[in-house]
Amino acid sequence: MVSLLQQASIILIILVIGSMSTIVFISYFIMKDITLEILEEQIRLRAQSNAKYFALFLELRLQQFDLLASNPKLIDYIKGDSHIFPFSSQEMTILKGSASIEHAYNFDTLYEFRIIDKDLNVVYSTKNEETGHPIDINIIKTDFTNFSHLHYELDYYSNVPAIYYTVPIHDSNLEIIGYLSVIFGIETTETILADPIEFNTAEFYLVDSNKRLVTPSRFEGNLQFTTIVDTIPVRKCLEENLPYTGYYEDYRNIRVYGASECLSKFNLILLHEIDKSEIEAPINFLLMYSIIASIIISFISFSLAYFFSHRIVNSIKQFVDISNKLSTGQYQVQFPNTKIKELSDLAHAINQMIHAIKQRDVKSEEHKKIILEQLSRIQEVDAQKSNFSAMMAHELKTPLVPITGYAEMLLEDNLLGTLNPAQQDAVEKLYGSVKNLEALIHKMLYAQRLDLGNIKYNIEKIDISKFMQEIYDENSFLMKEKMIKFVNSTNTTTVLYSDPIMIKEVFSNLIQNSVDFVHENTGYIEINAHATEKGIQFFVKDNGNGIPKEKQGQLFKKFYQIDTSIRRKHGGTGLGLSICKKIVDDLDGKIWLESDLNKGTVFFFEITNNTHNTTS
Amino acid sequence: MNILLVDDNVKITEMLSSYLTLKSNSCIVSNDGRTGLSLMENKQFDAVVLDIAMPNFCGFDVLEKLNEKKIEQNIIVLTAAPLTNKETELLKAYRVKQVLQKPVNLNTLMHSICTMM
Repeated sequence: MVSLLQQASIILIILVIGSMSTIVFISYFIMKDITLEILEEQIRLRAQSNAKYFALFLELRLQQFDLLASNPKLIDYIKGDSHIFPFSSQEMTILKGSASIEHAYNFDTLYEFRIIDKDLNVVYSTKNEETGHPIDINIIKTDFTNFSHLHYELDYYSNVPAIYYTVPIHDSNLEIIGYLSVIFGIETTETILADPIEFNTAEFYLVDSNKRLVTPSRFEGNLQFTTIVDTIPVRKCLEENLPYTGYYEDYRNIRVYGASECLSKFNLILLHEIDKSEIEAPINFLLMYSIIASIIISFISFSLAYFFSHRIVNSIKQFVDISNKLSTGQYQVQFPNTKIKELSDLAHAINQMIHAIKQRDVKSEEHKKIILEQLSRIQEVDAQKSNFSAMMAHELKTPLVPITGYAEMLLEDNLLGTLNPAQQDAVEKLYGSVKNLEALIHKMLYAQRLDLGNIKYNIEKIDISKFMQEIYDENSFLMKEKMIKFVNSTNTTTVLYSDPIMIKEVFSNLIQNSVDFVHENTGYIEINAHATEKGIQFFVKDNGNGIPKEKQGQLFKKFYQIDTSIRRKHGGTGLGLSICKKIVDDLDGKIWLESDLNKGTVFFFEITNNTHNTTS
Repeated sequence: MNILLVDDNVKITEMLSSYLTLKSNSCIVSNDGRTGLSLMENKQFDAVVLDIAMPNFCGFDVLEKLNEKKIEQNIIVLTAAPLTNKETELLKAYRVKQVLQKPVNLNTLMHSICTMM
């Protein structure tokens, strides 16, 4: 079984973590896309604009030299027609850039300036020692052709990257008479390409048509012209002359996001790159902070939820504890107040209930006490009664011993002498009365034993006709004294399986009752038996006093006598009918009566056929 | 036959002794338990008819002492009160030969004494 707290905790954890991570990941992916789009667009645009700027600058620069090369004074100067240096010092200053007009034309990095004739002798060089000597191809590193030539190498003297530009000089007949050769620094371009945004790994650089790195690397020194940049955008430019934007591995084999612009006119490719890791850093930060935030929020909301559910569950636990105590009858407990309104209401309701139970218990405890007291009193009385009847039986029986003994001795031939007929009759009557008395005492003991369940029943086959005759014969002597008319009206040949001795006991009691209650000389008693569905219904009918209706219900109770005056008039123990009822009940039958005051009484009893023929 | 009658009721012992004597037995009578016990300690009877309910020293006291002293007598208990189960067990333990209810039929008593012999 899972507890409420566990369930609530699990559901809360799933809900909180689920919702937080959903929010985090959705925002992460949206932010990532937006941020990257912006950054990439920026990189592409900057690459484009810088390329244009750089192209413009270089174009202007080269045009300056082109313009110088077509100066007629220069032609004269090469031909030897004039020995006056063709350019004014002002022009040279501009070329050197010492008097910069504006930032873009700051040519302070003009390293060498040479005028060469068609036989490749140096006519003029800013390096004076070369003048008048044939050119050294190691220094000039240039192919002298009919077309202007642009390429990029390290400067021989200063060993810094430089732009080499050579322009043929034509005379008026368009014959080549010499060359103007300049070498200028590339640092100026670096100013243009400098990175104005705060990225640690952002880099602009140029690659020439031989895939060599022209501008210095931002990350490592002395890589110019030694490092081959064989990257996707470089290849794309060289092969298809198309710009490229996207992710790739740069010359350091590091993954970058970059944009390229092809400056094919200048045999250059401009590249703008930022390390992928740096581009994604803010997004990763975003992700990291989002996760941390979500963990914190999860923790806080989980703690709060746990705290509240724990409080509820604790209250419920208290309810369970107290309920357990209540179920073991500890009603002194009280539900404590909780801060949760519903539970507090519940606690209040239950406390009232406990209070009600307590009060009821107190009352029922009092009742129980009273009942127990009464019960013990009744038991005491019952015990006294039992002791009394046992004692009475003993005390009554003891004097009977010599009486019966002497009567027996008198009646026995030749023991105490022979009696005359009158004496014989007297002793017989004496003996009969004593036997009646003994029977009375026996009845008392019998009722007691029946009450204790000490009597055994023996089921036999009873021939009803014969059985009723026996009853008639055995009870006839009772009728003599009051001159009662005694009738057996039985007319059946049925048999019954039951205990004959017990049924005789019932008859004996009922007949004795009738004898007691009929009047002398006019008395009439009838006994009868007839078959019913269940067994045999017997009755004993008399024309005695009758029994008032209101007394009939009590009749079968032990020691019950209708009233004391009758008891005085007619003796008896009041045990007879209760013995009858007990026997009839035990034989699975019923007993009842019909009676009219001053007309007489009929006692009926029906005994069920015990066909199993067993002893019960 | 030598018969001892122990009963606190004098009329009962009188009646029984006259009957048994008429039936050619010799009877010794004791009307209290202690005397009955001392008689039984000194003589072996053919039969002892012993009452249970006697004042001061009852039938069970007599039987208990006999049991303690390991005296064997042929005892018939004669009682008016019905016996409880516990009492019946006790009588069995004291090796009582027979229990008869008062008022006893004299023929029945005579028959019991004869069959015990």
